[in-house]
Amino acid sequence: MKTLKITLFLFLCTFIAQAQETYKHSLSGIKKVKFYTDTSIDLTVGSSNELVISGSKNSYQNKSRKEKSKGLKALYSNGNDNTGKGFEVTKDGGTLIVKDLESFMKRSGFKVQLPKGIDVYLNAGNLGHVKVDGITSEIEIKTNIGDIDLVNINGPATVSTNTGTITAVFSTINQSNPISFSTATGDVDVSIASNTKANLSLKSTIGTVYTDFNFKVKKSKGLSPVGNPRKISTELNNGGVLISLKSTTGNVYLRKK
Amino acid sequence: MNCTDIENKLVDYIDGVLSENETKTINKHIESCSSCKNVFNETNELINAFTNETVAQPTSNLKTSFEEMLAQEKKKQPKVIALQPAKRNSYKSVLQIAASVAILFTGYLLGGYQESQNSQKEIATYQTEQKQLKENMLLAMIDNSSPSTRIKAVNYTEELTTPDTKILEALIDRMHNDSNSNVRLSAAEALSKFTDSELVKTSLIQTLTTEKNPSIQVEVIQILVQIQEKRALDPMKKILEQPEAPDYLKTQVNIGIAQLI
Repeated sequence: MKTLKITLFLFLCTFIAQAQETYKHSLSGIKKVKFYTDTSIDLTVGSSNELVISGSKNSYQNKSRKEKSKGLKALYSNGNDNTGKGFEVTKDGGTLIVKDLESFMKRSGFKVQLPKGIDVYLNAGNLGHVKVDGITSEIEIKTNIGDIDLVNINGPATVSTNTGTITAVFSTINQSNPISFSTATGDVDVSIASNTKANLSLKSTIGTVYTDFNFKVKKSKGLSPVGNPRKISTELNNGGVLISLKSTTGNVYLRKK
Repeated sequence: MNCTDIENKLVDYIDGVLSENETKTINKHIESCSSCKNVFNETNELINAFTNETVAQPTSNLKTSFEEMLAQEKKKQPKVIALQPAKRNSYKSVLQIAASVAILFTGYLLGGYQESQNSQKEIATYQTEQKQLKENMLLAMIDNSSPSTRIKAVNYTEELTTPDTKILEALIDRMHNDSNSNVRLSAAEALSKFTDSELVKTSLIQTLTTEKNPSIQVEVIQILVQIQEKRALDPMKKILEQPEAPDYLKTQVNIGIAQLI
């Protein structure tokens, strides 16, 4: 009995501790959420119409240090912490802007839950990676060296990275607006359903384009000695929304799901 | 027979057309009745006078003048020409039918031609309106907050064969100033189709000095090499001097320089 009480107590403690680590913000009247951070973001779909930020580990924040800062307020050079969690959350019309004020060293990534129909912009700064699962509306992602991993998305998606690799598995493709992925030195690896209607534009300036789809590629006229654009343009299942996959030095992979 | 009856039959008696009995009765009566004898004598005289009177013949002179008059009258009359019903020749009616068919057909063709001229005008107006609409839509979309909408707008320009300066300026603005590198890249690609324009050429050369994203730099270098734009050499050489430029970019620049000289 005593052990049960202790376990319950401990369980409650961890629950409270977790709850304290969680930040929530209502999304009524919000159509788009923008994140600016230097660390990694892991975005999944939540059940409520709220923004939920959790799981931000503070590796430098041990217990004794926490006590030291009790009753004090954190100051940041790049914004005003109005969440108590090192984020600045502001509203601009129908857009909610979440700015991570902590350094990437201190906050090694955080988790976000959002309703699936909300537009998102994720800027993972210099070093952050981005993971998105299940968001069905428009996604815009920008990283520098971070990898981008997208699952169960529909598009439209506009994703760019400098040296990161882009991996995406689409459930179905939204035909309203184009999908465009570009990386300078990373690979682009995209899986789509074999019956997807799309206009494909696949290009790797130095690398190679690979696919298991059977489509005919219009050969460029002759051998262009200068500035061969090396772009592969074709229609998939009689054409549809534009899917543009580009890598300057990396490879492009287009797979049947 | 009394006197009145005798008087009524006197003319027939004189003409000798009565029966023998009547003639004998009238003879006896005239011998005995003086009044009837007088009437007989007077009637006989009158009938004799009629019988003896000769028919007056018109003079030959009169006859001539009459015929002359007639001839003159004939001359005075306007000539009246009787309308002869046209001879119905079979080859003529075939020609007539052919002519009417030809007229009908010409009318039809003419109408059709005018109609097609009109509809061509209508199509032309419609196309200009549609182009205008598309351009306006494009200009509205190109400033949209959603990057995929901006890319969509940029891709629309590829359907325009001769975009006006407004569109080109909007594209150049996207290539230079858009916050999303994919939009800038798409705009550069779209502009590569309109390199006949000097405005586009100078804007592409300018991009080489301002753009920091290597993907876009490589794309723009390829476009400028393709159109053999020698003015791109200087900004390309400057990229080689930049310490932060990645190696693969410098490789592309060197290949470009080699192809331009």
